[in-house]
Amino acid sequence: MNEAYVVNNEREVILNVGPQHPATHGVLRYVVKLDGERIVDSDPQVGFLHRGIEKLAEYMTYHQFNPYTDRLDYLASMNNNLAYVMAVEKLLGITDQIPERAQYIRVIMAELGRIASHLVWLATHALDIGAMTVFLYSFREREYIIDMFEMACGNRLTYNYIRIGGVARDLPDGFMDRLKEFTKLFYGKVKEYHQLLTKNRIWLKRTKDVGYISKEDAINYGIAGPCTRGSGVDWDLRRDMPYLVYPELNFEIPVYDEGDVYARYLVRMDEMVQSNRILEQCIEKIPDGPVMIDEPRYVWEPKERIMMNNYALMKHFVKVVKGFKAPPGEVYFGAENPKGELGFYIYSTGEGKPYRLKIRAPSFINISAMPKMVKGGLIADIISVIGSLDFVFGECDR
Amino acid sequence: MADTVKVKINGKEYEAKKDETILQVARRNGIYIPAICYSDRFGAIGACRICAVEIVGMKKPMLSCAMKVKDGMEILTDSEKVIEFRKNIVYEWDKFHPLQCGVCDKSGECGLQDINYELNITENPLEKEADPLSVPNRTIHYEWKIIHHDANLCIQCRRCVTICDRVVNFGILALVKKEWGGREIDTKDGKPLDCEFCGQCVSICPTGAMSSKLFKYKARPWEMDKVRTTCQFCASGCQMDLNVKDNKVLRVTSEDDTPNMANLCNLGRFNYSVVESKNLINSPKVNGSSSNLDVAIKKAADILKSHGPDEIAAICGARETVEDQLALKLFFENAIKTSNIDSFASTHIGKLFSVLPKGVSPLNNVSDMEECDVIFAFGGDVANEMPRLDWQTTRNVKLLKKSKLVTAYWRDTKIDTLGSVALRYEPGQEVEFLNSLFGSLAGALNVSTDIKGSIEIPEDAVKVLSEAKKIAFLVGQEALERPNGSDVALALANLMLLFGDKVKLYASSKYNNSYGAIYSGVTNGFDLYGKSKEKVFSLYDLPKLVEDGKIRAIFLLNADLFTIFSDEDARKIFDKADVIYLDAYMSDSVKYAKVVIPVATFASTDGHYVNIEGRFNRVRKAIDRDVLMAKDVVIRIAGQYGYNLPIGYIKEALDKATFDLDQDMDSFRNVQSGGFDFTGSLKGVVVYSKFRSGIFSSFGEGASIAMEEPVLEINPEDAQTLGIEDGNYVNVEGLSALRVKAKIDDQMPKGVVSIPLWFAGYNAYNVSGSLTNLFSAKLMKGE
Amino acid sequence: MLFNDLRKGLAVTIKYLFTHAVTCQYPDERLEVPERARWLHKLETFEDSGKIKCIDCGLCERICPSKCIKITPVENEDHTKNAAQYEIDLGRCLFCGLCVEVCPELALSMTDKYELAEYDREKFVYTKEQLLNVKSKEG
Repeated sequence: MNEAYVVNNEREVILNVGPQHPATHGVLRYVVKLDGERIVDSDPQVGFLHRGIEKLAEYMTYHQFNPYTDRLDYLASMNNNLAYVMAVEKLLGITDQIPERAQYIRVIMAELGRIASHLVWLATHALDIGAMTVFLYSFREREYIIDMFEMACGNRLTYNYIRIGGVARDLPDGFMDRLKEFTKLFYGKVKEYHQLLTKNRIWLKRTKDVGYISKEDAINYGIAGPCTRGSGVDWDLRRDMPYLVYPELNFEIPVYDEGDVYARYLVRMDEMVQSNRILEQCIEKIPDGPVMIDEPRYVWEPKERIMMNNYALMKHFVKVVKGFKAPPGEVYFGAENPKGELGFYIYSTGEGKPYRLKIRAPSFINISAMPKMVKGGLIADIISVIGSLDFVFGECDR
Repeated sequence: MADTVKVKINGKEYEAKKDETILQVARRNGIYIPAICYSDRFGAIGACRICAVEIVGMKKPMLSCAMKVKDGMEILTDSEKVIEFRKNIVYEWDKFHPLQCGVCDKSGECGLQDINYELNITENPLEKEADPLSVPNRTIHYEWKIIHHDANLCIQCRRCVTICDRVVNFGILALVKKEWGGREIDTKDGKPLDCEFCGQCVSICPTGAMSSKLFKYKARPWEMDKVRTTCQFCASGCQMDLNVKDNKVLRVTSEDDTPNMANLCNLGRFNYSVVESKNLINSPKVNGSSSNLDVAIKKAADILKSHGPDEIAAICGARETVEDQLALKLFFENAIKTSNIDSFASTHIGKLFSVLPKGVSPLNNVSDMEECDVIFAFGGDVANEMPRLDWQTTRNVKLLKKSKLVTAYWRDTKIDTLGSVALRYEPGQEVEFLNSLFGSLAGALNVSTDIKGSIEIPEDAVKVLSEAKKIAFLVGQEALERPNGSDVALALANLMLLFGDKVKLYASSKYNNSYGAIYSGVTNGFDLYGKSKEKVFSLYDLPKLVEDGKIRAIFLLNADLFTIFSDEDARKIFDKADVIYLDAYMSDSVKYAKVVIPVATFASTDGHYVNIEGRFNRVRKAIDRDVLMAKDVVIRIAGQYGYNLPIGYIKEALDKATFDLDQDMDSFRNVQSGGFDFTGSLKGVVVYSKFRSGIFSSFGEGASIAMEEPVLEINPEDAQTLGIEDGNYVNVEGLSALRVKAKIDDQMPKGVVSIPLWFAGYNAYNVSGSLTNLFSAKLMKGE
Repeated sequence: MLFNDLRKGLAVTIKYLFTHAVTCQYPDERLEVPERARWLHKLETFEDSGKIKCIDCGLCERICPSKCIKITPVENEDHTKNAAQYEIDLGRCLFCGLCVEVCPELALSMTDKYELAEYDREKFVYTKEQLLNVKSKEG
């Protein structure tokens, strides 16, 4: 029996921070056992947003499953698309053949997604602690990013843009100019957020020495991403297990040792600045060329070919109806998401549909470390810790 | 010396049997070699040439579908030469193929689409040769019935020609030269298609060239669910898949791994629209007016309660599942305590199976016919009664060249085109013929007997039969249904006893579960599992018993009396007795029965049919209808009657799944060669049609388009004497008259005319009398 | 006690008091969506004959991840195939655009009409006639 549900003496009280709560960032049921105002034990209960995505994947072809990956971490859809697509490409063995322009576009989209996700994190974290202004300002910046995404692919929140073999379409005219504008103004905005929060005494009182987790515990619990980098673990998949064109770009990985909410806050703020740096480099280095691999076995061909050549039409039908035949085997690929490491494990038996698809969701792992972080704290600290862990239930419950 | 050889394919070694082809070895070990014109149903043709592989040491690529393996052969299936060769063939196919994947019904299961994808065709250097203005301009045969042929989609693999010739033995398709200079698939004489409409060509065509008009543009293959079930039109028990979408059966397919090798006949493949609700009984009826289920069940139970056990009879139509029959048997034997139960099986196989000789194997797999070196087809037109026996005979004689065929009937039929020793007699002389054959064979086999007959049996027939190592006896339903059918059965048993355990018996039946009726013990003379029992009540006596008032209430289970009785006799039964009628399909019986309760069709029921092989084939539910299965209706009527039917006994009886037939006959019996007294110059025979099985089959599209109305077949000389021309309408008179179209057939013997059974609106038994299939015919030209 | 940290923060907010608002005043101003926007579907017709381009190949129905397209085929007198009924259930649609991408006839496209709210859930099922008559801002 989980200790969080057993009351040992008269001072202890069990409190339910219920699934319907404006500060739990989704549907989280968090049961805490209190001794006065201090938390003795707690237990997070997840699963209210479970939609059976992993099971649905067994009935869909690989192309058909792409829109579903958008809806895992719906705040950074581009990064989810990217992780899934790179896992499938690893299974097919075509990772080296992705055109270079497509790789640069993918990096641009991924970093914009990272900034967008961190802006939401900042907004909601600050809002929960009480700073409403920051919420509105960061959403204003987020609108810039979302407008750029809408120009490129057509939707604002769930994109279905990064596809197996490249990206769906080339960047439209005007995209690069807007990107340049955005990178120029963003440094100033980050400085403003720092002005509003970083030295603010209320903020320091609410976040310093709250939600502490040591370096060993962070590694033992398996959490990854900004949460461990706030505890001194120097690990980032973009540098240590690189993919796409990250080896050619210069950027730093911010690491802070304190291990509390304030450290994680600083990590993410610095990450936003570093992402902006990456974007500037990409704008200069991006080459011209095709944006999709020319492999008719796996990829849908352009409309002119389908409408003019009968063999292209025949292959198109087989690819859409039965799905391309992936070689049998299993593969795992992890990408650096704004929230941690998003991993896709695919087991294929040689058919058009995956036999098993497992998603390693960072939010799910991060939540498991919460009881350790809040132990001995006050009820209000739960809200700070929830904000600093930055989980999204689309990803956690799948 | 073992006949296994070792071959190397792509560098790895494999073992193979001596007679196997390279393609079979590769497929067995999971190595992919594309093959379009090869099929297990008829072997190799060598027309498409895409299965070519490179053999080390030979200059040209060899066809792997035809080449047999030799010891030490080294085969490369993916070398550059081979891939180049294959791609050139596909370029030829793609040259003229129109861009119709969007509308073509075959999309999604098309062999050409799959080959283009697997070989990853990205260009076509032959495209420049094709004049775009001339494509597509080949014939599209919109005027053919049921089957649709579009020559633009054809890749000329000749699968359809081969299967029509070597499996179906009809041979109407061929590659014909056309005015535009090339060749197309067309009928041999150029006339619109007029064949058996079995649809094997549709099922085997790799592209959409041969397709089904009944299914055209209805749905896409990937949208439909496939439910494996058993056909309900004869006792072959062919396994088929009902393709269902949105609770409607849209088409029927069959797979290569079924016992019938994906072959289906016209009724099985195209007649699935019988299960549409417009052909079914939609609501229960009591005394002619619509009612609801509870009232009808109560009335049925009341009728049964109000008569003594000797005044009640039950008839099973041999089309329901074994579970339904067992439920009826338990109810009638244990609750009503009457043994007046009979089924339609007692008109044919019931008579034969009650006199089975010792040593004869009565239930055999149809594919076991391949072990027999002589096939003896007696007493019926095998192709019209059970097409599966026709296909197996064709396979034995034409494809595998393993057996000799001896036919014994009163005319030439389809299987005689395979080349047979033909023994002929006049209709009605079956017993005389069998006795004569018995006498001659007994002489040749040195068995002493005094049974003999007066018909001359040719020497070569006697030689073939007496030297046979294993004989397949194909017994037609028509001979057993003669007025002296029991004597025919006895004479046949004598003949089988002569050969003993060399005989494999195949007794055909047009009723899909007549063998189940013997297993369940609902046939006169049979108890559960087919054990012999004293004969108490026979279907043949029913009209007389009802007229004398001895039987006052009848329970009919899927038994439309108009399928075995003339209209007059059936009406008399319905008028005098209280009839409880359980069936799925609309029929004339529905109008006259006192209580009518609808039950599920074969597409909505779950159970088992027993086929000619003695196999318990599963029938699965494919569509949902708000109608109970017949078994459940019987259980409810029994409950209303006051009897709790033990459902466990049904399952127990089904689990045994083997017959316990009593094969007692061990000595020859004397049989009176009765015959039939024909008055007048024309002998009339009632025959079975390939396109009808039960009157309800007339309501389906496949059967009614293939043959709309019955035809009377007459010899050309007789027609000339009577002044009848082909296509005229005549009135054929026996006990009463029927107006049918005449067809002149020079295979009909002089002095004999035949009319087919079970065409809706044309009850042939009106002319010949109930349960007899011989009559003295008078023909008059009608207008 | 100088409250420097609070004063710096306040300076930021007061600065924004004098700048232009970034809000789009909907419904007086309609937010324009870019050219590639993926909103309400539109069935295309041939310009000269006005016949519908869709030949019911079934690919859009097959690729849809949420199975919201239902098509009933019909055979015309000249033996060509068209869609008798074409329904998209917008209540289930993801607006992912895969149906537009697979169409081999360019018979389906997505317009910029995004004001699709209804009071009844049944009204979300758009029939063939409604999809043929979608008027987009561009044309």
